[in-house]
Amino acid sequence: MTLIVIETMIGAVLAGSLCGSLGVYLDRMNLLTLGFVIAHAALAGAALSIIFRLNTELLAFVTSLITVSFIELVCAKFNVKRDLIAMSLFALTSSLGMLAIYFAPTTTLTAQTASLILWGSILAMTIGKIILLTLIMIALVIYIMAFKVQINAILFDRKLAEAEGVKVTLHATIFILITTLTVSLILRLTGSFLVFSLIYNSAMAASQISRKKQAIVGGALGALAGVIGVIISFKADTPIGATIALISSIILFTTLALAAIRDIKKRKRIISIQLTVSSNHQK
Amino acid sequence: MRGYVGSSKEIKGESNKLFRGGGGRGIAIHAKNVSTAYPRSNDVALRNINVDIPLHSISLITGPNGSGKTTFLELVLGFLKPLTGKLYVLGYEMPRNAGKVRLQVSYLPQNFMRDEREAYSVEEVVLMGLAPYYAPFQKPSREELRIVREVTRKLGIEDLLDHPIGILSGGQQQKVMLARALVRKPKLILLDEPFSSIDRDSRGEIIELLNGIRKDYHATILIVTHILSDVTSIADLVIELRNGEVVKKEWIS
Ligand SMILES: Nc1ncnc2c1ncn2[C@@H]1O[C@H](COP(=O)(O)OP(=O)(O)O)[C@@H](O)[C@H]1O
Ligand SMILES: [Mg+2]
Repeated sequence: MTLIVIETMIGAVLAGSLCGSLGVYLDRMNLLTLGFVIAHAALAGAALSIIFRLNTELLAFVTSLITVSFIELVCAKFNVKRDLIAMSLFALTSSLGMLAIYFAPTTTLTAQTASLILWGSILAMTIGKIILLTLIMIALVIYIMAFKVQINAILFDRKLAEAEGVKVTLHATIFILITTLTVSLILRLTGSFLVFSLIYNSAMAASQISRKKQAIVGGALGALAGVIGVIISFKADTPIGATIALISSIILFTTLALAAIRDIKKRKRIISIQLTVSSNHQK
Repeated sequence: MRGYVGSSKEIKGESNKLFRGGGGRGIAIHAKNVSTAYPRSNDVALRNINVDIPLHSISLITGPNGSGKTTFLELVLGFLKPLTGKLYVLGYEMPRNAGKVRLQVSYLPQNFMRDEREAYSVEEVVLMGLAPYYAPFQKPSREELRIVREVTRKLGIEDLLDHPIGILSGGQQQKVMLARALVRKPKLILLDEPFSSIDRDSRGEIIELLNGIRKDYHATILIVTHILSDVTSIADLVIELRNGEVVKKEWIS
């Protein structure tokens, strides 16, 4: 294996596991829409970076952060529904991103960069980014262990936790910040259109398997999608972002099907037990 | 040390110290001309509320559905802002001091019920009540685990500590949430329809338990309920709400 395969593989595993477990926390804290907006605001930021020839990751991070802060500010001041303002900003940032890419100077370099931002590239992973993603992963694990009781209280019942004095807003902000950082760093690997599917699919698949260990399962499933995606992408020469997203979709459909079969079996078993009990009763 | 730890004399001294500020000495909740509305709603949910709930008392809030009972608790917790008037809870003006006040208050939400997918164990759920007091990496102490056992034993759910809360009945889940409220050893306990899915016998036991907590630890207890009957025996004050207004305040001697 060449260095680039190894780098991409490690990058995809880190990206997949971070997205998978962050997705679980965002979902259970009712923050998935914000995650969705972050991913697409990052696209707008990345597109702007082509025009202004600035660092893509940095601009993606800053744009997402400004967008999310704007949403929270508007929600706090004007009592607008968060999802409404979030989704309208999703439409705005995505279309601005597209326009920026369309009107960017059409040299070969920028054409390449544009497709990279949209669809992802195996060339995007660098040692520097791998180190940063590893640090984020370590920080996330330490943070979750340090505030385990508080985070569990929020996941169990957000409003009650807040009523009891847990700093819910602070913890939500930390999760949003970590998500923004992660998305900005992996944007050029997975492509900005597919990064959210990596967050969403793994989290939803995990919810079918285990509720208690959902975050760990989500991370594992995301990593699995990353590994299989990279292998297929290199063997069959398919675009990396779409391949990883496709695998994570397949994982989600598989878990949904298995969960449905499991529920049908369980129901049959319970009903048959009830029937035998009542027929014994009649004898 | 927080809450019920230490002798009751100390606690009394401590709570008196608290009442230099608003609301007056010996008053746990002081509302003067308070009106409030929910965000995005055009209706006033509570109108011109004037109540003083004394420290160490048991007060009942009653009234028909939609009369504003739960809204009053949300106001006390600082989730809603008074549009007019002043509100002091434990001597602090609200909602400006919600952060401080919430650490000294326990809250049992109305209609609490989780389906069988909820996998947190009863013990975990009860211990979550202590979460806001924990430092990073802090784990429940032996003493805290003992208190959890003691409180759940008094509520008759000690055998269920390892069970996932989702598989319990509505009444059992309500007792778990009551245990969670009590292990926090709060100065003020807000209970929203705590007897809604609890049978008659348990209701009597819980009423006695609450009375004991008020006597031994000088907690202030505010119970929202539309069934008065047997709770009235331990109550000092009954407040009746109708259409967001106080229509009756009755002292029971
Ligand atoms: N989240 C909310 N948003 C808007 N209006 C609400 C909300 N919750 C309750 N209300 C309204 O406030 C009034 C009082 O409700 P509530 O305090 O829940 O009554 P109670 O607890 O006495 O049954 C009702 O008219 C109800 O429709
Ligand atoms: Mg109510």
